[in-house]
Amino acid sequence: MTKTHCAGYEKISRREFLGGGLFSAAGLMLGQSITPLPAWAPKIKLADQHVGPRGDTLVCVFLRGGADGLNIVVPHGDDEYYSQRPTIAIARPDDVSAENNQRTVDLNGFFGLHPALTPLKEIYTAGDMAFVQATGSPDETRSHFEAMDLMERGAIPGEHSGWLARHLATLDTQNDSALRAIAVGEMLPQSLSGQISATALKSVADYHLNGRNETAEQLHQMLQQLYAQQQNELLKAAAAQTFDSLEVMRKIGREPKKPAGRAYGDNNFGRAMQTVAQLIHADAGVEVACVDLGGWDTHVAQGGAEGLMARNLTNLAQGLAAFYEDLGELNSRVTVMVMSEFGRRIHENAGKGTDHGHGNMMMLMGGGVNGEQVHAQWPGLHPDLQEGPGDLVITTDYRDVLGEGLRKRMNNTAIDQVFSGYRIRENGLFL
Amino acid sequence: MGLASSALAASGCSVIGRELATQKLPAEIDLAASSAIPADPFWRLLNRAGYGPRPGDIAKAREMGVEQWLETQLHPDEIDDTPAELIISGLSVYNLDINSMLGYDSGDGYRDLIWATVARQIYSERQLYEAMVEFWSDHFTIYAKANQNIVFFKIADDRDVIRPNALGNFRDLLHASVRSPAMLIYLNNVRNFADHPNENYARELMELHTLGVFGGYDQEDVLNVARILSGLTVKRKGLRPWQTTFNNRHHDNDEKVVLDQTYPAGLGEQEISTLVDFLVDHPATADHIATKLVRRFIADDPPAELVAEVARVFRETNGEIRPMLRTIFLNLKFITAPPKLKRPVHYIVSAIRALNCSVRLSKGLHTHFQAMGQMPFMWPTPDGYPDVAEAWASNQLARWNFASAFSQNQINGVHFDLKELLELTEAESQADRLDLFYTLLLGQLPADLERQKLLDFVLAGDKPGEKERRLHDVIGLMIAGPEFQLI
Repeated sequence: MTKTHCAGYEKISRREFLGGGLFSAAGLMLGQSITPLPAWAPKIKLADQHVGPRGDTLVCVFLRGGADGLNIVVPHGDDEYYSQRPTIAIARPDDVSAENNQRTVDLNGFFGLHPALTPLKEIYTAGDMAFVQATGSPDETRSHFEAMDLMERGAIPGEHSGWLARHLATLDTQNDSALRAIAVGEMLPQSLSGQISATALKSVADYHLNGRNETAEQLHQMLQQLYAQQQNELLKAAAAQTFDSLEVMRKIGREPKKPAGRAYGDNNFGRAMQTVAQLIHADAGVEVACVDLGGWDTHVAQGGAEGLMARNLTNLAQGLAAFYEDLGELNSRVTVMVMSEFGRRIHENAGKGTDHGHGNMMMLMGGGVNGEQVHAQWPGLHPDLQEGPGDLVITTDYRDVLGEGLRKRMNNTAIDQVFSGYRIRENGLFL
Repeated sequence: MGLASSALAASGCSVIGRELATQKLPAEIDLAASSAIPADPFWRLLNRAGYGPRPGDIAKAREMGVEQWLETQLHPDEIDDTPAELIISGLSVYNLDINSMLGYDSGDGYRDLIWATVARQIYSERQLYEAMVEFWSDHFTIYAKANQNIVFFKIADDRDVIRPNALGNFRDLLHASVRSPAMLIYLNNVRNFADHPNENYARELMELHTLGVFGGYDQEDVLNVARILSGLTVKRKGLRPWQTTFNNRHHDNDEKVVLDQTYPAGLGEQEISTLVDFLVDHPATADHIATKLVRRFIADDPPAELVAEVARVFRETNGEIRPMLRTIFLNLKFITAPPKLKRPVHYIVSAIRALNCSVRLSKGLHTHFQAMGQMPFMWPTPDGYPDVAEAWASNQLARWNFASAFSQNQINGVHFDLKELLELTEAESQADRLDLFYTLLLGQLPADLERQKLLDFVLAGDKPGEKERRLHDVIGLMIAGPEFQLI
């Protein structure tokens, strides 16, 4: 080795560089011993898993960017809503000055839905959908990233693992499917972190290992062997998870069947919901599925009944309604929860948009939802009733909603560990 | 004109640049040398302070020694980079002024911006510089599809903000970014007016660009920073180019207080510079930048002592970037830190470099960036692509399928020449051939047992041409395997 002038390099003995080769069982990686525990491991010490029957498949839809809940579950009975939002408010259900399809779709005389969500009204009336208003996490930063992180970790400061991961870790349903937890997309969300046995996938059709016919099978095995010997725990676990998922996928027909109800919509969210439905239909063992829908950070020109946000809501409603119709009787064993990291400012800004706020809405859908209700201890919108720079006060902690769902629908009795340090108050949102 | 257009990189300059770049194979690779020092520190250096070695790069670096290699890389202007520059000069949109670019379809903008970035990662000799360009492009992320035309402003941001300052001083970089039309458009400061402040940019300026989310500011500070930035907008006067201008009519000229510092009424535009300097000088900023640099180049979980050391250098040098990088790369931790997972772009580019591929921009490569989740400049939120393995590790299948397609030369626009590479050694036997590719891709020779396993696989091919096809298979296996993913 040519002499370098860097003492730092020379202090290291060559031995430390004896790397693991492709098939070396020794496989000692550079500096591997320095981090004995993988960074993603949960910090909370979890009690032994309890064994329980499998409950519903939980589908978590995360609206990333801070969706403006006040224009989704519209408080049309609060006059203050209209004075704070002169140009972007959604017209009252009986406002004859607005076109019929531009008005709020009334739910209970006080709250109603954005007109782009009209397809959800039918599910609500059928008793399979409920909304929560003025809910959220205790985040105070109004930072997207901090708020998402906090919400997905379960609002425990310093905790790195996600609430869904802890849910799965505390409940043994005797389900050994590799697809017990999935995320549709290129990456896993924070909520699943700490639970490495989760699979990120785009679609069933794409989830196959390509290769030449002559050697594909043999290379598959050789690759599996390489990862089995790998010392990097994160990579090893991710690979094992991928191989297991490939096995499951082999047994499922590549293309989803034609939806039983309306079309899902030719957009990422629609395709993602269809993939989840496909896996549920195939009984692939999915207990938790995460789907993201972005584009909610509407600081500027968010629109009202039409426009930027309305287009996103159209995709959301179409995807949810198509999923519900596609599942039919299976809805009795599926719960969908829709959430976002925070709501937006009550008053609109000069750019006809809204800034980061606090309280927000949530949506719940499925046969086990105590539907046809909007749960809200309404804090009011008047400036005297606002929080911080003009935000909706949170009167229902989002953990109360998730926790009740986990206990009643997913059969988890260890809610105190999923949301450690917080006592859940249930609100009769689930059956 | 879409991405698939054949007119893409067809300009003469680009072709010559590419040929120049790929013709630089060394006469010979000394396999004995790589066998002597398995996984040596230069392997890590060239893989972290750049996009991985091309054939012969390790030997060259070893001859220079670590410090000299680093010093050379820290002064990119002194490195001849004709091939890469020829490729860039052949781009049709990337080199235009902003007004001329705006006449093009935004698809042409994405194509040029992505290729200008990836081509330099592949072909430029200024590897550390390109790594820092990527670092700052993430730090000051601008989503190239945030609106119809923002990609052209991002190209200008790449040329005028990121690249001139990537190895310079953080203060200069931040001043430039605050006046970048792309940033002001992306984070809505163009809609930030005295009577109706828009907080978006103000918040991210503190949270993401300087202090960090726990940098000690509160919502009131966010609002006041928004007031200081009010009136800073992007305008076009007559036929002059679109540019950042300060509109005093929309500026809030009342007194403001940010983090206990008072900005007296009536300062006008001057208070923006004062604010930027204040943010650079704030100790939380040094900590934040140091943490991110150490995470990028050392470990996902940045060692606290080294972060403190780099932050101290930041403070003592007023934000000079080169001394921070020296502190990082010459620290013992650089060697002892656990392996880091390559991010997708790095993974792809390092495979291309290792086998000295000829590459032209094509949809083929884009498909793989997309499938792995890292299409350059397409991260939609202002925090930039994540820099920890946890974010990327789960998506293994997309990597394996890239490796498979790449090894068979099936990716449109990407091609390596097996025969040419074989001439790097007197690789007569299949075992020698395996050794060669093992060395090029993994920086060492295989253990005997492994060599035998791979050899058995290759030799089992008995149809005509099958042994060579199986050599391609093994190349795919090496790239898909864990060793190639970790650096």
